[in-house]
Amino acid sequence: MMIAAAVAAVSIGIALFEVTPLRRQGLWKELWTFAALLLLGTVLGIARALHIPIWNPTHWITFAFKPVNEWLIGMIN
Amino acid sequence: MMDNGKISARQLSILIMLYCIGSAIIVIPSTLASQAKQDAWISSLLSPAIGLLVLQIAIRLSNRFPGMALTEYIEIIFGKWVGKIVSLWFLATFPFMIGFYTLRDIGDFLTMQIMPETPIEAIHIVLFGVIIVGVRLGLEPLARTAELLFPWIVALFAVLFLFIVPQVSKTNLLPVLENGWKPVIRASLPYVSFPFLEPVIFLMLVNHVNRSEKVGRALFTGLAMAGFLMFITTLITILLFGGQLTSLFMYPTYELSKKINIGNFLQRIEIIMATIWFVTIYFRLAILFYVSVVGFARVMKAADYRFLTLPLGMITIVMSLVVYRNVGDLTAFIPVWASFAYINGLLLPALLLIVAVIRKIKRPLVK
Repeated sequence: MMIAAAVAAVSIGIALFEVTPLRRQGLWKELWTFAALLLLGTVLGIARALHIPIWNPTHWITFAFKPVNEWLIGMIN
Repeated sequence: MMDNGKISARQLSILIMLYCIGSAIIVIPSTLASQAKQDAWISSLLSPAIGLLVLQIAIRLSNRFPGMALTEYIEIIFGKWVGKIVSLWFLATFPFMIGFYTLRDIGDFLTMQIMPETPIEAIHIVLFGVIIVGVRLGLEPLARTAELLFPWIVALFAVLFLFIVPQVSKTNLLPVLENGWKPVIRASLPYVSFPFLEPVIFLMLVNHVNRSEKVGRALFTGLAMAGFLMFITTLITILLFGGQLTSLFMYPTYELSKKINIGNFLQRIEIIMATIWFVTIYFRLAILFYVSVVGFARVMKAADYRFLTLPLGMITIVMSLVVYRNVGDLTAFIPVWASFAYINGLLLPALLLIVAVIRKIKRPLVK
């Protein structure tokens, strides 16, 4: 719980640091991208802190490419 | 404002060399020896050779579009929207994702060998903080730092090799090719992908080089030098430990530097040697993160890239903790990654080059 709160606090800090210059220059597209990515980062960070399973690229690459790899190794044997 | 920094061909060479040595140098002798045993040194010659061949595709591509970044000509070759999707796929699954694994490599190394009681999260946050600072400064300061640190890296390598040479024995290399060529080729496969299929990432940086006609040669020399240093490292590791023992170590190069003992006086200097890979991994991570961030900003035609560093850095830190449960996952994943890397490292540039040649697309003259 403490770690999740710390992650949220860091995100708020990052937002305070970056949003003002972007808004002052009127870069709205950039501001929305920033907000979406920061939200994604915060959600991932909190999920990690609360031990909620997160989408893991290693599993998917292993799932899709283990057969390819075995085929490749099989060719050399 | 997008980064307008200019780097020289020499700096590009140094960057690609440090990039390729990166985190590979601490694990590769063990990966090679697990298949090829005492012939690992032959594999370590084979892989850079294949890497240099694949590099020719990248060089052809960059000569066709001098002064442009990869994502820019993907959009010309594939058309605007398909191009944007391909660029995003490339950025997300190549530089950005390799970033997770590289950060985890150094985190695992530090928690296993040097600071076992520090939580890996703390190490990742501190290390990646430095990377973010570097990336926010831009490519030019990074390249200059690389040039400044380069003599130190070469000197440390020289010290490592010279101090260990008195202890090696030739018999560890025998019998040569005991089981024929097959294990040797099989061992070289993961090492081709990691790191010798990755120079495609540098096509995102070559538009910063001040003289674009020198790019090809600079990439070639840098990659060849990295291959040579890794070959020497693997050879010395095998000469000292033999094939069997090398394959059992997680970090054979670190074990190698622990063995340094000059007259029972100069010993336990492994942490000084570890400076080599702190520096190389720093540049590897900085380049990966710089390319992902700047590439993403280019694809969405943003005015700047710096506002992306903190949120994407946060995602990288969390994902680097998620990708492996433990170091066993890493050893299982290296061969799988070996076949995945061909998509972005070989097939994508080859496809781009073929389409560009058939449709006779070159760099538009007006710019």
